[in-house]
Amino acid sequence: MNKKVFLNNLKKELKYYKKINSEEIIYYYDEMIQDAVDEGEDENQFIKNLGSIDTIIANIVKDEDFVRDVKTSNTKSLGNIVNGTVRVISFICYYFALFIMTIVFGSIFISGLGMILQSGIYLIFDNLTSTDQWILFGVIIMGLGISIIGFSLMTNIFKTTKSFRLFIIRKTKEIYRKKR
Amino acid sequence: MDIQLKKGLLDLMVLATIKYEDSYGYKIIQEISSVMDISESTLYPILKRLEKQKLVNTYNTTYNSRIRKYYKINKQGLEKLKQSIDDFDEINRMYMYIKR
Repeated sequence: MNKKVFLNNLKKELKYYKKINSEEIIYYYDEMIQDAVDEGEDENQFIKNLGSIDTIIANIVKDEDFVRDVKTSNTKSLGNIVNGTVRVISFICYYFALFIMTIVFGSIFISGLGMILQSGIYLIFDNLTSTDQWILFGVIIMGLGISIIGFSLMTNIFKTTKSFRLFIIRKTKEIYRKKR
Repeated sequence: MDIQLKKGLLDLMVLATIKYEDSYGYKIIQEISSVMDISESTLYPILKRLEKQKLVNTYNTTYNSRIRKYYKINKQGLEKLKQSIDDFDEINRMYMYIKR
């Protein structure tokens, strides 16, 4: 792995950690690698010796936790707890609503597809008058429109929940690291 | 070695490394690794911590047309180092007692 790839991968992984100053870390490793190369070390070998990006981040997170724990201990006042509970409840409500909306939009999308499929089958397998055929053709167009609407609404919801998904990924990674 | 103990010692090792001459990440590792194992990923949190605790100051200089971050020990850092040497004297007495 060369420097560019390594720093890129590191940057990508650091995105999941809001509290870490990722720019500073990138600068640190950039400088470190360049100094090593200037001293005659092999770039790829040096990067290999740095260890996995997971280990690098684990070392930083451990320490950030340490600093944060020291800072936030003894600040659990009643106001903070109430505030926290309200925040958690609204958080849950918000994502529950988004979840329901995703299901609704998903079913709109699927029912649109169903309309296309059903009319398609009738058109192909049944002997119909030309008026009926035109009506079914219209239904197909309608189904297409409905499924497009459902689909775009669904993708919009996905975009809204991007930060939520990043949050879930971050938390899962943290738990995984702690277990190890 | 105990992690907390090693953590504290590493902080002091870095402070001792820049006691006489300002230094930068790569060089600090080179110097410390002659005495004990230290990796690049271990050093970063230490430097960060020392900076946060205001025991060192930092400045950037240009080297080979790129920026290099230097660490400089300040008055509080020197004091901390001096105080830790007193602590070591005490630890040493305890060690002799344990070992006897």
